[in-house]
Amino acid sequence: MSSAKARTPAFEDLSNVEFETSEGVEVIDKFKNIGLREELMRGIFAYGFEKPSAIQQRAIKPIMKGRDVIAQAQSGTGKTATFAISILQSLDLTMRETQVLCLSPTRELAVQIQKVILALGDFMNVQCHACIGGTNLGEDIRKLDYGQHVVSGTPGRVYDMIRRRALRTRAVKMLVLDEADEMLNKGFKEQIYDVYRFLPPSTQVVLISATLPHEILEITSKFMTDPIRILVKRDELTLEGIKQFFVAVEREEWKFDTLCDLYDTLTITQAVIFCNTKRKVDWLTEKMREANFTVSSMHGDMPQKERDNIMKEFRSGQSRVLITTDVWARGIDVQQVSLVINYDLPNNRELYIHRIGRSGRFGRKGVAINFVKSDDIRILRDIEQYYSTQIDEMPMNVADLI
Amino acid sequence: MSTYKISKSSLLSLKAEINRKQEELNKAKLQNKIKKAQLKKPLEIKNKDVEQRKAQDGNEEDVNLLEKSRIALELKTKLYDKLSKRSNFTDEEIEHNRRFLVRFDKKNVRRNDSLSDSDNEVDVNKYPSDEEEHFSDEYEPAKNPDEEWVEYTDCLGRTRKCMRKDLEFLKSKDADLRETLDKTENKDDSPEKEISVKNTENQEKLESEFNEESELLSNDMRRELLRQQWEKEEEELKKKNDIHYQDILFNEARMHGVGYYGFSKDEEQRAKQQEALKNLREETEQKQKRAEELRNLREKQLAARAKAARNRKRARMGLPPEEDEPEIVQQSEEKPDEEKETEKQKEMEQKKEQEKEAARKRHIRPWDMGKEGVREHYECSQDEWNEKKRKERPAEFAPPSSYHRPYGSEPRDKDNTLELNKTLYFSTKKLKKKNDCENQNRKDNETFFVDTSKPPPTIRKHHINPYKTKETVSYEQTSTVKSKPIPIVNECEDFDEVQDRLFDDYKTMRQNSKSTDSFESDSESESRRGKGIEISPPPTFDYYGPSDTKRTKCSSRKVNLEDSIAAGLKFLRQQVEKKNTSSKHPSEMFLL
Repeated sequence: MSSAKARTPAFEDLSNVEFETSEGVEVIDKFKNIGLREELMRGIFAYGFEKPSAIQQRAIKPIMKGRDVIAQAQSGTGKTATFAISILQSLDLTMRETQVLCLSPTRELAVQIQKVILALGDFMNVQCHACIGGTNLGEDIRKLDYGQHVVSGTPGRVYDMIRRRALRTRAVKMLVLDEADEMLNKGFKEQIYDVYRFLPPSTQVVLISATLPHEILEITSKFMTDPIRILVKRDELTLEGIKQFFVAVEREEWKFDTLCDLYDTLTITQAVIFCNTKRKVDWLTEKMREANFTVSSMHGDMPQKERDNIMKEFRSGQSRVLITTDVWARGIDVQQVSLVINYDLPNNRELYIHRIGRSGRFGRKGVAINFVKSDDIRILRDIEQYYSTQIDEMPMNVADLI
Repeated sequence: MSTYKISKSSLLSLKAEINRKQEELNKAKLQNKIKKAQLKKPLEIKNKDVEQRKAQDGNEEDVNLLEKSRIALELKTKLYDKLSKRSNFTDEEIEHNRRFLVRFDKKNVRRNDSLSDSDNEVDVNKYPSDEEEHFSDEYEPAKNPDEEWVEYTDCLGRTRKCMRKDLEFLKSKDADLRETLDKTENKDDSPEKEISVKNTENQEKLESEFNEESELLSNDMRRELLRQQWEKEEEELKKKNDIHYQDILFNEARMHGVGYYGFSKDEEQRAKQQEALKNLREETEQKQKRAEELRNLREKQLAARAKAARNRKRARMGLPPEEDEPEIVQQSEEKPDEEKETEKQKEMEQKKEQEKEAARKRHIRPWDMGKEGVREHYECSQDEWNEKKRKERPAEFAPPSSYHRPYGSEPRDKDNTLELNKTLYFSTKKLKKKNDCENQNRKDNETFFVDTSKPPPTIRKHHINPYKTKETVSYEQTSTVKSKPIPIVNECEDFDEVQDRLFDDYKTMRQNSKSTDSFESDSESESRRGKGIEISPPPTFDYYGPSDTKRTKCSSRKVNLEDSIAAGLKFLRQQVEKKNTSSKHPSEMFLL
C-alpha cells in the first residue's frame, strides 16, 4: 500500500487542485537560529542583512534540509539571498566541483546572482561562475575547468557547456530556477528540460519567483518530489511601500511630453522606464537625447559588452535614467531605483508586478507611474483588481513620495 | 627720445623711493602675516561644533582641490626657477624644455637686456600652436562624434577641452609630462626630496579620486574614464583564477552592512587580511571568555563571602552553620513523564518523517525517467491504468442514461433518473466531462454532482493559457507517456455489469483519493471526501449486491482488461522505440 501511496501518477490532473502554502513550515526569525556556518553568517551581516525577511525565515531551512522548495515572495524581499544563503550552506567547499546550478532568464540577472553569492560567501572564499551567453566561450570553459562550486547562468549557455563537457554535472545536487515562472514558460521550458536531463536523478530543485501562476505550479510535479510550497496570495503580492499611480494621456505622443515634464523627478534618485519593444526603447532614447535629456538605454539587441557597461554605469550611479525593455523587468536589484515608469503597460499581469518591483528594494520606498491611453485604462483596472491594489491618478507632489 | 632731461640725482632719488616702497611693502606683508596669526587667537574661541559643521559644509573636495592646486603651483614655481636660473642646458634638456611653451632661455636674455625684443620669436612656430584652437570657446556643433568637444583634466589639475579624436593623443602627452615631472622631482637632490616625492604620491592619489569624482569633469569624460577602468579590471579578472566579490563590484553604489570588509583584490593580501581578521576575532572571543570567567569567579566569591557572613551571624546566635541549598528534586521527578510524552511524540514524528522521506526517495519524477539508473517509463498500477483509460473514453460513447436505472425499477421515469444521478454517479471521466459542460448552467445546484475525491471542478482543460503555445503542447506530449485511446469494447452490457463496474469505480476512487493524497494523513483525505452527498454501498454489497452474474461474466471482463493492458503496453513499446530513433533519447544525449 505504501508504495502505491508514494507515487503520484504521471498523468495526475492538477488543474483543479488549489495550491497552498505547505503546513508546518517553520518560521525562524533570527539568522543565528537557522544553523548557518559562521563564515556565512559573517557574509550575511556584511552584506547588510540584519534580520531575515519573511521568505528567508521560512524557506532557508527547508532548502538546507534538502527538500524541494517552491518559494514565492514579494519583489525585493530577499528571495535571491534566500536561495543564495541556502546554497552556500549546503556547499562542500573542499570539493571543487559544480554542486549547484542556478538558472535565470537574463544574463544580467545571472551575473547579479553570481555577485550575491560571492558577496554572501566572501568569508567562505566560494567560487561562483556566471555562465552566460554573449561572452567568450574559451574563457567560460577555462573558468569551469578550473572548478566552480556554483554556476549561475542562462539556460542556453549552460546547456552548451554541459554538452561540451566543460560543465560536469555529476556532483550537482541542487538546481535553482530563479524567476521560475518565466523559466518554465514557453520559451524556456524546453531548455530547462534539456538541462535537467543531464542532472543526476532526484536532484534537489528549488523554484523561486514573485509570481507563480497556477499553470506553472501544475507542471512542477514533473520534476519535483513532494515540494514544500511557500506561497503568497495574489492580493498580498503588491508591496505597501510602492505607491502606484497612472497618468492618463489622450494620445500616444503625449506620453513623451509627460515624460519630459517628469524628468526632474526621475533624477532625484534613479529611475527605470519600461517600453514594450526594443525599437521603442531606441526611439524614446533618441528623442529624449534630442530634447537634451541625459538617459541611458538597454535592450537585448545590444552587444553584451555594451549591456555590461550600461549595467555597471547604472549600478555605480553614473547614469540615473534607464530606458529599457522587459529584459530588465525581473530580478535586477539596484538599491537606488525609486521610480519606475511604465511608458507602455506590460503585456501581462505578472510582468506588472515584476516591473514595479524594480523600485522599493528591501523595504525602501518606491513609486510606479503608468502612462495610460484611454483604452489602456481597462487593462490597468484589471491589474488593480487582480492584485487588489490601488492605482490612483498621479498627484502633483509625486516627487515628495520618492 | 625723451623730452625730459634726466639728472643723476633724480634717478637716485627714484631708486631710493622704490627701495623705500619695497621695504614698506615687505614690512606690510610681514605685519599682515602676524596680524593674521594674531587674529586667529580670539577666533579660536568658537561655538561648539562649528568646525564640524564647517567640515560638513565645505566638503573635502574643495579642500582637496585647494591643496592640490597649491602643490601644483609650488611645483610649477620650482620648475620655472630652475629653468630660468640655469643656462647651460644640454641638447637633450633643451629639447625637453621645449615642452614648456615658455622660452625660459629667451626670457633670461630678455631680462638681461630688456630693450632688445626684436628676435625672440624665432622658433615659436616650431612648436605646435594649434592648441589655441582647442581652448577657444566658440565651436561649431559636432559633425561626427569624433569632433565633439570633451573636457579632460590633465595631470596638473587643469580642466581642458579638446576634440574627442585628439583625446588619446593629448592624454598620452599628459602622461609623458607627468612622468617627466616625477622624474625631475626625483632627480632633485634637495633636502625637500622626500617631501616632494610624498607630494607627488599624494598628488597621484588625489588625481585618481579626482578623475572619478570631480564635479569639473564632464559626464561623458567621467563615463569614458570609468569604462576604461572597468575594462582594465576585467582584463585583470581574466588572468585571475579565484574571483571574489571585490573583483566584480565595479564601483557599484551599494550600501553594505557595518560588518563589511572590502578585502584586497590581491590574493595574497586577501589571505593576510582574512587571517588578521580571524586573529582579531579569536582574540576578542578569548577576552570575552576571560571576562566572563572573571565575572563568574567574582560572583562566586561574593556569594561565599555573604554566606560566611551569614554563618558568622548564625554562630553568634548559636545556630549551626547554614546547609547547602538542597537541590530541587521534585522537578526532576515530574519531568520524566512530560519528557516521555514529548519524546514519544518526537519519535512518532520522526517515524512519520522517515516514512515520508522514504516515500520521497521512491518517487520517480517523470522528467527523470530514462536517466541512468531510472526506469524507462512510468509503471502505473492497475488502478491508475484503469483511471487513465477511463479518462480517455469519449463521452458520446457513454452508455445511455437509461442503463443506470436500478434493476427492477420502472422504466424511464424522468424524476427517477434524476434521483439516480444523485445517488449513483460516481466520478468517472465520461460523466465528469458531461458534467463539466453542464456545470455552467447548474452552478448553484451543487449537490447534483458527487465528486468524492476532488474539490468541485472548474473548466480548465481548454482554458486559454497566455503562455502555452502549440510547441509546448507537442513538447509535453513527447515528454510524458501518452497513449491513443484503445477501441472500446462493448461496454453496453446488461445492467448488472454496469452496476458492478460502478462499484469498481467506487473502489478505485477510494484508492485514488488516497494515492493522490499520499503525503497527507488518511483522516484528511477522509474529510476532503465528504464534500457532497455520498452514499456508501451497503455492507452486504459484496455478497448480495448485483454481482450474481459477476462470477460468470468475470472471464469476459478479464479479457477486456487484458486487452486494454496489452494495447497499452504495445503502445508504450512503440513509444519507446520511437524515442530510441529520435534524437532526444536520453542515452544518446549522454553520448553527445
